[in-house]
Amino acid sequence: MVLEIISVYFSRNKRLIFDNFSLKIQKSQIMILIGNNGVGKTTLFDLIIGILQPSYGEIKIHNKATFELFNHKREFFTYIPHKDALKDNLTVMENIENWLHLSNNNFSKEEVINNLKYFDLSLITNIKVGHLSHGQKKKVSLSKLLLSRNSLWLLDEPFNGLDKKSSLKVKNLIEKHSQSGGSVLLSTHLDVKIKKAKKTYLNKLHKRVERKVFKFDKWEEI
Amino acid sequence: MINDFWNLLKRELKIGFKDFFTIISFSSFFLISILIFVFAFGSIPIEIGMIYKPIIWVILIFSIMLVSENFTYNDYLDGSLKELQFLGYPEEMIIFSKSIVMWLMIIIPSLFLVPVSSIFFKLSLTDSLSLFISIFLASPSLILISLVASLFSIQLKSNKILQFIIIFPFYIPIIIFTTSIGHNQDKLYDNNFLILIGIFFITLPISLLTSRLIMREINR
Repeated sequence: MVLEIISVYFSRNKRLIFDNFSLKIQKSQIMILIGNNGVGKTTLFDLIIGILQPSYGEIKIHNKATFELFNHKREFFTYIPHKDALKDNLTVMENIENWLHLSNNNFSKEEVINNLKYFDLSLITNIKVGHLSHGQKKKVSLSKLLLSRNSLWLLDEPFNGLDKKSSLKVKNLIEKHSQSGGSVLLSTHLDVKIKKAKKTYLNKLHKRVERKVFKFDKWEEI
Repeated sequence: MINDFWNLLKRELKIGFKDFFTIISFSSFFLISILIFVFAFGSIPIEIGMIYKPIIWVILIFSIMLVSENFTYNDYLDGSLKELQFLGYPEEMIIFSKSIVMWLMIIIPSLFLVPVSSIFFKLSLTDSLSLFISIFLASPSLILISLVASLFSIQLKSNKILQFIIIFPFYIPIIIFTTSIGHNQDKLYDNNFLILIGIFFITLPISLLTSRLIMREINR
């Protein structure tokens, strides 16, 4: 099993967000988390990557609990968060090089430029990220996937700010990754169609959690 | 582990030295504030020579506090602070690398400004050297405390007044020992230098540990 979320409970600001939530992702599987704003998509990613700890339950990546991964996290998954994590005063190339060093990936400059061609970024490698549009920044962020050797991709709202052509490219990239044995967990608030992808609707789960909270007067009773 | 630290340090150096605005704003704030005091006192060399230490130290503390937010708040806003965390870099290492780069970026220029400020305050060579050494020794502690303060302000969702009230007392021991350096006018050596080194070795583990706790709380 590539990713296992086993009976996770999580609360924030006295609000129950995940109540006995489980999810499994196998090799070559694509899982789409669909939900409105505020249902907990990013929170779920934060739990998976170990930024947050569940109140109860366990999360395993490649059969290892996330808290056991420590500084080996970068070898187990590639996470593209909602925020681009790009520095405005650095060029596209410098940002990518920074990420490559931090994630222990070795690619030559030529290889990086070749991979950036996929998102039509090869001609703007020397431009500062601060001068790019929101969509271009998103593409720079997503191009990290092309330079990653990890089998598990975690993508938080990857289609936000992208035009139709670029969204299609991202979909193709995800499908290609799955065909080559990789697994993908992505979140979106749009109804995205990707071949062989399974969907989990977080809105339904969220309503169930809200009903459960409503039944009790005190948080401690939950 | 060393490789991880080197990666972080390279990242911080690359980002830091591309941001000339921080270096220029720090240096200009430092210099202009000193000039304001000098002009305010006019041509009364005896009085200004007596109170130059508190003036310089208060200016230095305020300018460090002003700049420290650039090192953490920008990273928080663009998501790179979180990226470093989920890539598996220990929080202590992140803050330690930031403090080294911050020291290189803002304290080295201020050390160059010491001779200039010595001219303004009409200081002797011994006083200038003791000021130089005291800034060199006390600044690492000041930077670590200010980085904790800036993380604190993120965690408190930018409640800067509370940050100021909570963190400012930690600067007081450093101010006390730095301003009391040089009472023995003829000798450069002062026991307070050793105390400043001691304060650094106390501040270092405490601030790194506190930073780790705050950074883990930021995402909650």
